[in-house]
Amino acid sequence: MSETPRIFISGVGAVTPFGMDWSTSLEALRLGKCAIRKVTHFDTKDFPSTVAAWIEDDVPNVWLHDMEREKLQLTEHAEDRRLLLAQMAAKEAWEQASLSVEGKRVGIFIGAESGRATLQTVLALSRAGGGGTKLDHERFGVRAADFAQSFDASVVSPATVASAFAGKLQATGPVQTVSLACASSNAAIVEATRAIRMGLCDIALCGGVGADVDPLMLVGFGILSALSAKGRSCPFDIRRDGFVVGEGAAMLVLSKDSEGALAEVAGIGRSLDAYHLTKPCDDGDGAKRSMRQALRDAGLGCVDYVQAHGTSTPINDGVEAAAIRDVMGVESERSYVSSVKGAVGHWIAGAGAVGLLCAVAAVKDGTVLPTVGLEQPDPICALRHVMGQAIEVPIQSALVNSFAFGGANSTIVIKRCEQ
Amino acid sequence: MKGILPQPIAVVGAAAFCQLGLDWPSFRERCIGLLAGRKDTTLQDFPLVVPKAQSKPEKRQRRLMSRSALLATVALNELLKALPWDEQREELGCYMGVGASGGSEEQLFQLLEASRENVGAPFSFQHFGEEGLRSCNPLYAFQILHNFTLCHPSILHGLGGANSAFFSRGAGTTHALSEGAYAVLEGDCQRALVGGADAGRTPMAHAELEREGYLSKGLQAAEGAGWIALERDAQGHALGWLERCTTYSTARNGFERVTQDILQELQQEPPEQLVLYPWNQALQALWAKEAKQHLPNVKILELESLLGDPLAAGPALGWLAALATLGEGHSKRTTVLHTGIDTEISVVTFSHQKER
Repeated sequence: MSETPRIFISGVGAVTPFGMDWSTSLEALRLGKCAIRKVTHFDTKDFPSTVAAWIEDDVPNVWLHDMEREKLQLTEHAEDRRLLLAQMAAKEAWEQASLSVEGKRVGIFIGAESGRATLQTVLALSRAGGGGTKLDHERFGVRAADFAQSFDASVVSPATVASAFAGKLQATGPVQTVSLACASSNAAIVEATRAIRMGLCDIALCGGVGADVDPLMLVGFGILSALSAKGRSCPFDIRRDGFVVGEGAAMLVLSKDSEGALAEVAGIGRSLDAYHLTKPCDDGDGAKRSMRQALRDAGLGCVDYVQAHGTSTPINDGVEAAAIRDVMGVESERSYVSSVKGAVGHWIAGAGAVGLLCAVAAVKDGTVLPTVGLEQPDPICALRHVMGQAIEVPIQSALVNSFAFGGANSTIVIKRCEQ
Repeated sequence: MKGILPQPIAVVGAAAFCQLGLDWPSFRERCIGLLAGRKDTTLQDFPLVVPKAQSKPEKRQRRLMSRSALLATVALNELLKALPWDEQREELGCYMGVGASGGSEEQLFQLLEASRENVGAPFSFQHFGEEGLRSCNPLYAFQILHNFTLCHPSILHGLGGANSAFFSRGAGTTHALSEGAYAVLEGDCQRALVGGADAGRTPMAHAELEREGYLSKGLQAAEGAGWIALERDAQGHALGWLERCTTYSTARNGFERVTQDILQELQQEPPEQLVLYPWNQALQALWAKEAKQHLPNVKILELESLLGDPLAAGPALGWLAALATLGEGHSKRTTVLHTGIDTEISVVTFSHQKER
């Protein structure tokens, strides 16, 4: 194999509950603000969790032309929230990168899960199937066509976002949608890095989006007792009792062009726990293998900063903290650690990408963001936590973790670019 | 040529679970028969009959699986049983093309029904969040997360290495193969399992495909799963060697033009056999015509009319058909052309011997 090319981050963009661009969002994060509040766009009385970090403002369609929208059969009444959020973040990242390349050398790598059919759609499905507790297959067969007309299929396909971006950029390189639950966007960025290394494309638009503040997902995660009953996201805190759902999109542009780069992607790693559907393995074996692989790929033994998966669930945070200590050894005592989920909740498929943007802020500007909500660190989560507000300190390297339900783990290590 | 691997990778095992066979030997036998012109090939009926769970943990876990995850698990059971790969499974790579066909409709209906104050009453958010929640399988949400098609079998078999799940209606499964191959070549893992599984005949998936207009365009939605096992250098017998793996977008130049470009490219070094596996019969006819024109001496195996389109599983079943008909007395090099409803064209080539 020939020498592995170096990969740089040339642009970033994000839409978060704090704002419609990354700089606005970063400022709020720097100050230690929290975007979690009561959900008001549907009735959450008696739901397992009644709060989320959600985007209140109308999100305009600023990037995709009518042509791409028409191809995707997007109609006014069936807007895809993932696409709305993602396109705004992608526009920001693409414009910041300001790279020029033929479409055939551009790849698109998006972490996304299915969009959500509206509750009306689900109820229509129920009616088409007989309306009882059992699916009446015969009746459903007769009514399926009518039912099918009642919802917009592109809204529920995970590939919608990547397809729309490929159309917008006339990108005919690899167009991939990675669906790895909470590790989706981190893994999509890993795939983008690999694709450039393998010569499959020169530029990659990559990242992820999460738009799961809806009744079905609040109930779905609630059934698992994964959500915070207290309505508080406080990763690594002794009071943590579950995560809070958030929504947003974060995108990056990767290239081999170091000029004006924000950071370098130095290492990537992936593993599977092969242990349990919802729990990480007790000894953090999968997480450790993922981190070790990324560090080895970067040629490092430890980093200055870790943007942790840090969900605020009792099990994850303890296992992750122990894994970080084990992988980096005594050197971990000098590594700053934080999790953005305290401020913006858990974006599921988009979580890893916004974590990586936080790490870019650390290595580029020395801005290490705090873990919002963390006031009383749990002794089993002992690490060099950043609390309250951001600190300013030189950071040469950073590591970003994403661990998914089902046991898929993905880790990225980035380095500072010396200008 | 685009997508040629830096060095061929050994395919040391295969497993199929589809209409053409519920295991690799019967799938292989039928493929050979088809190529020999046999007309009496019998197909399995839908839904495919799934064998009993191999163990108590599997039996328990099956209750939490989507149909796609179940099909993936059944096929992987067969593959791992046949491979001498019991050691160091935590280092095995695992790459999959996975579909959107999700959870049980009946679960959803139970949840909705419990979300009414009484029978026939309107839906209530309050009941949804309380009684609805309690009526439901605790892991229902995970039946609709696509990566669980990969995670269920990985947990059951202790597969812990590099991995990814690509959403696929065709090309995603080829991306999985490309990623698996490079993971092996670059040393992320020494061995990897690559496959695809999907269930296009569940009511919800069928309704989606109808809505998108694919059924009226001739899509025969199907279900199935296929896996292959990759090893950097075959320790034992190899079924074949993966030489090339790539996808072509048809967005800019159109399907017919891209097809012609690919076939012209193949003229430089023609395979002995082509497996043609597009998603409907119109494309099958187009491909057969173009193939005869560009590669007149190449044997052709057509799969669409036999297998329909099992979406994310389709490309993997195409690879298996190629591997089934490689070897002495058969083809020395076979190229699979596949296209799914995502319109990208996948090109994958296997050779009988390690030649490059």
